[in-house]
Amino acid sequence: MSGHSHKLALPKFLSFLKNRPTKENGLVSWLTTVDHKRIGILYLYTSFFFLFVGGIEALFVRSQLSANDLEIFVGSTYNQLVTMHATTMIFLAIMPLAAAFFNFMIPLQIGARDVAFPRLNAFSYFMYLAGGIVLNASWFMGGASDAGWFAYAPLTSATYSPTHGVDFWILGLILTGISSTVAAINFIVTIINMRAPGMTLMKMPVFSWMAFVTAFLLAFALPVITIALIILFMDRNYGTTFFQTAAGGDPILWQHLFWVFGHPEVYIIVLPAFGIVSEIIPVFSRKPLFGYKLVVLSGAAIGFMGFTVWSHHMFTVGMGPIVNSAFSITTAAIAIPTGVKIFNWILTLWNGKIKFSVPMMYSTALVFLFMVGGFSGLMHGAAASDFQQHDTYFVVAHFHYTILGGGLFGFLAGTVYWLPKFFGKIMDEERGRKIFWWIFISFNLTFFPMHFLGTSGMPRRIYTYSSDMEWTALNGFITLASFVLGIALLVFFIEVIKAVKSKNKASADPWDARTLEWSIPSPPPVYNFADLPKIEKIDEFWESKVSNKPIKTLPRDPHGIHMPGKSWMPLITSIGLLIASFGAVYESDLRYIGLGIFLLAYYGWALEGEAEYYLPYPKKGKK
Amino acid sequence: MFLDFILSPQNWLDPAGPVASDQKDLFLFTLYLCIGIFVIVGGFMLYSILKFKAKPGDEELPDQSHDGTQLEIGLMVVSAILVAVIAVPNVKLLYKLAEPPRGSNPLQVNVIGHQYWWEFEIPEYQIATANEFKIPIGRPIEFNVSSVDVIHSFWVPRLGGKVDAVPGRDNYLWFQADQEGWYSGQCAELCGSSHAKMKFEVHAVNDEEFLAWVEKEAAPAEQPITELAKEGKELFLTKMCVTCHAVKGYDGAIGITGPNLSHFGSRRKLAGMWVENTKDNLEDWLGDPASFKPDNIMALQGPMYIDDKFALTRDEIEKLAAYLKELY
Ligand code: HEC
Ligand SMILES: [Cu+2]
Ligand SMILES: [Cu+2]
Repeated sequence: MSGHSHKLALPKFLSFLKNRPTKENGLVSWLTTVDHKRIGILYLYTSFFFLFVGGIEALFVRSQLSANDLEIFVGSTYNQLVTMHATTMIFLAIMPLAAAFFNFMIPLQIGARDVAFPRLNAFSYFMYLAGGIVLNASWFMGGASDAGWFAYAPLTSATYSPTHGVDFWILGLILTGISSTVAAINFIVTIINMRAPGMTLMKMPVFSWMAFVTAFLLAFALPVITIALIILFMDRNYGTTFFQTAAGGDPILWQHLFWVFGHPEVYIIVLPAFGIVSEIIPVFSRKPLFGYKLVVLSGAAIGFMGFTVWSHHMFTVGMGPIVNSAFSITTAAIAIPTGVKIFNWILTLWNGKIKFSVPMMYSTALVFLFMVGGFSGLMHGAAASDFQQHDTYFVVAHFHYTILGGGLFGFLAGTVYWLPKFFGKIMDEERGRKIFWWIFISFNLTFFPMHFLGTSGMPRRIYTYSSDMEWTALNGFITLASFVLGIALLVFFIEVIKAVKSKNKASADPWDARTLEWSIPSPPPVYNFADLPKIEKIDEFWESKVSNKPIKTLPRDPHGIHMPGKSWMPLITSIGLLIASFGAVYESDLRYIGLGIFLLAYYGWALEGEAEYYLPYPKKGKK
Repeated sequence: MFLDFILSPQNWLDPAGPVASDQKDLFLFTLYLCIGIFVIVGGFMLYSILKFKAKPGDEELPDQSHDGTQLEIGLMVVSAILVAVIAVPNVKLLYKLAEPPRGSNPLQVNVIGHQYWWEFEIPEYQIATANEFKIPIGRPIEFNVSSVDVIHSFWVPRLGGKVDAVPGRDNYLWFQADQEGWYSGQCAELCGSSHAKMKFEVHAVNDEEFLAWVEKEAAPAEQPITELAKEGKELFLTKMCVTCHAVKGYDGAIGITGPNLSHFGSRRKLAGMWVENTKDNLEDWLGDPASFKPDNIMALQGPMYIDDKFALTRDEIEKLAAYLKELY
């Protein structure tokens, strides 16, 4: 046991907090876990769940649009579905899916035992869950927000959105925003401080690099939206007038704040997926990634340039030709570093010996699909013609090609690729391939025709259209395809769960991969690395396999393996903020009760006992 | 059947004026360029995938080289050039579209977005109308676009791109129609429950027809002729329609919450262009406006729709409809 003890005494009635929870199994062990791998799994399953919810919402939307003049989900109901579909998919499904991989993989890839702040990591997860609960509770408490996911003022004001939907939406997003901000800081500190000795930044795996860039994007972009949300909440509930024209406010201010966050958000979604693909393509081509340095630098460049283009979402608000030209050019310029990535992926394939396992199929599909989305993005960037495309189904097609084609496909690749590491099980290859083709084809049949709806003038977010617009046949077709896509995705996730439950045990390194996570058993032991590795080269693990020499390790700690202690506090602080959020919506005393719980648990967080413990080392030679 | 969309009255790849036509050209230019690059890069990728597939049982490592700085710099330079190739015509067009050609004597039109209908004013002729208006062909029309409530977006796809109607701002747009005809337009920014039904139409006509229309629109409303319509006119006042609707020459009918109805009888369509302006449809609208447009302001705030005390009877609806139809 460690020598130092806590000098600060706890008040008597809190003395039960002195001892950290220690359960290793069962529900309590999951509620108190600080293990980055378990937290990763929680993120994974929760985001699957919300992907399902968002998918159902999408299919409701598609049902309503399947023919002209339908009256299934009309007016506000339809708008709520559209708003919640986008919000759920972005904030509760895709971003947390990336977080699942960050959590599980970053410490393994950089040769660490856990993240820098394990309890904070658990807190991030519970805050995300709390945000999901608040957002979706609105369905049952008077209706969800119907103001669209970018919530343009003044439609969101108390005058035009009198129900509590927007309030729930604001608070849900603030909670998930806290979750992501905290997680971002945690990952940044982890990556800066906890890399294995010898692993300089330029020897770090590309996925961890993209996670690093993404974490900075989150840390800079989220505060902007969080502040905007707080201001909006004050406008709605406390009589301020930041976005209210009549009182001298400016609704366009909201758009700037929103998109300063909203555009980097796109890269928050796709950069992790790019990272995954940059891991998979070399492994299955059996070659190092082509131009590692440029791939890393272009990722960082994309991240940086992502903050310079936000007004391309606002070409039609009347900014004039000077501003529109400027944002057109910055937007197009992002094509340069993005092109670098694509060229490097292709050059990695070149001269390789490519094995088309399922992760590779999703990865190469991502490259194609992202190119389609990237090119339509380039077209949007031409402001003068974007006046036509803007806010039509052309845009809907574009961002589904980028967010699903360039994001989700990467996460599906990552799910199959890392499933052995997550659960020690491997997915059935034959069925995996079939499911891939169903997803790939139905995806394109769903979203590609939307380009044509766009060029024939169909605006987004309209709940119906009349037959003389001539959009009926194409919409019917799209709806059909979307149902196939929905089912195919569902089958994918069922297949994942079947694999997890199956006896298809995976070896430590089933793909003959390159990075450190594959050097330890599948699934890894709680402590990840019994002996912490010493790094000399990029892809040290691969080099060690090729040269047939084991990776060098650090001397063992005489105390044993140093482990972070479990805790109830992340859960309790989150419950406090969850309760406070409901209180804030209804302006009731629950606010104070929730904040009280939060503060008490925060106090407990600071003072609870023994922060760490030690495990005995396994026998040398045995992993 | 799946190609029907090409015939859409909102197909902006079938332009009917110089602005939409320039935008189409730029769109197609970028499109073809992108398709070209896609075919080259995607083809290269497809080729690599097919060519370098591992042969079964071949476990030997391929060539491990993974650097080619010159190649990469070359590719970046090529991308940069492509970006510039798009930027130049784009910026040129942005400036060209910023105002109509010099010396072209544009017609001024004010566009005001309301939840969920469009108000159009032509100050030169002191005309105020809603959801339908006429423009002369061959003459640029300059729009001054704003909103009284939330953000809407004014868009007539076959005549030109859109501009947002933002409360507290005056936004500018111009376009011109070169061919006579009805051009369908639609609100393009989510503005509430009936956003889908916030449509309008622009009728481009020759000068003569335009001037005739202008003269008629500028004149006071017709007096009702039939008995039914005369009673309808009374009801229009007593049932408080006047608090929201204006009728030129009708004392007290100066409401501004709803569309100006001075010449309502001559309008082609009703309820955000959704149905023909027939007697039956009009009566249905007056009976239950929300069934046409969910949460529209008339249904939400009109006393006859929220308070049973003021509900309209079948008989009253017929009279009101008769009156409105005679407002030619
Ligand atoms: C609270 C204000 C209000 C009152 C009272 C009101 N209206 Fe309206 N009316 C509106 C608004 C707003 C619209 C536009 C609705 C829309 O299209 O979204 C409208 C639309 C109409 C239209 C259809 C215009 C079109 O082209 O689609 C007619 C006809 C009409 N009103 C007639 C009447 C009559 C008759 C009465 C009295 C019985 C009446 N209104 C009372 C506000 C009102
Ligand atoms: Cu953007
Ligand atoms: Cu609208």
